[in-house]
Amino acid sequence: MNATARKLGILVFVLVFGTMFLGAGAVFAGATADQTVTYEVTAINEISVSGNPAALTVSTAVAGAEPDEVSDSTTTYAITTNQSKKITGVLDTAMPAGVTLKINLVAPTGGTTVTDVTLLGTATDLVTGISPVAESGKTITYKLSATVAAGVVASANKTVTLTIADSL
Amino acid sequence: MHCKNIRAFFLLFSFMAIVALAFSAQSANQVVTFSVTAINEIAVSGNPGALVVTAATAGSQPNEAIDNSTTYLISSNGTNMKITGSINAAMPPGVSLKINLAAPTSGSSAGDVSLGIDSTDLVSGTGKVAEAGKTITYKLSATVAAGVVVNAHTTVTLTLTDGN
Repeated sequence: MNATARKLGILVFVLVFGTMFLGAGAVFAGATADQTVTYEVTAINEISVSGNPAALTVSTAVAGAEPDEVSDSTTTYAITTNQSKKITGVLDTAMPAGVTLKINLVAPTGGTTVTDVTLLGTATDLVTGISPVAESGKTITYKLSATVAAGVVASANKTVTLTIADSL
Repeated sequence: MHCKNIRAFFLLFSFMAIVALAFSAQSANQVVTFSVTAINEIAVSGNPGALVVTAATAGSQPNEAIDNSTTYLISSNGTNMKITGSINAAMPPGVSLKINLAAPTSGSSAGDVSLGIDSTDLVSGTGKVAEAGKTITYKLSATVAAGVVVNAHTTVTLTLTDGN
């Protein structure tokens, strides 16, 4: 065999086995594969109430004293939040002169109740320091009071709005 | 058929999602119904001490006996109310029982009023009021014609009522 044939044989050998080596590497790289997964959890803030309270009627007094306060604790609220929040309350319109409506929300675990808050036309804190929580059946207590100066007040409706708000 | 089922399922699922969103949100509303009825309450602190006509200045009718140890309490959210008084049975002949109620802040006292079995105005024109400790004064008088009257009782009724 002459030198040229020998060189050609060596070249062929290198090409064949080099290709086999590279091919083997490609086969072994397919045993694992990476994926990039994109995900997120958005801010979740949900509140709902069990219904409307029963009618509140101031109708009695002890002679010499202002009329007796009446209360209702028949409704509850449910809350789900994954943030630090507070709950505020607001009336759609002001109460008649001499008539006061208060509200008391039982706080969810970790929160703090602001006791017997007089509801106004501007939002007022009812529960503060709420941490991420998912709870239901939290009692809502309404208290209606009236002074004699209020006189007789015919049946009327007010809408109370409870809102999950930023703590700051 | 299969495509129709899928379409129907999609529509039903979308409707349920919309309904769920409608009942859960960052705010929730409650409607509160309220009222205040007419309130009229009157009470007394107790019974007066025994009124005994027992002395006289020679030549004059017996001295009047007075008691102002009791008070009344009143709560009313009405306007132009009045307090009336009456006794359950007529006083013996020659014996007279008068009453004087101090008026609440809004209202006028009728002064010394002789009590009879018919209601008589004692305080008139009361406004919206919640007061206590209003003095009740009783005055018992007797003429010599009444003679001796043994220990007797009468019931006085105070009524808070519409002044119109």
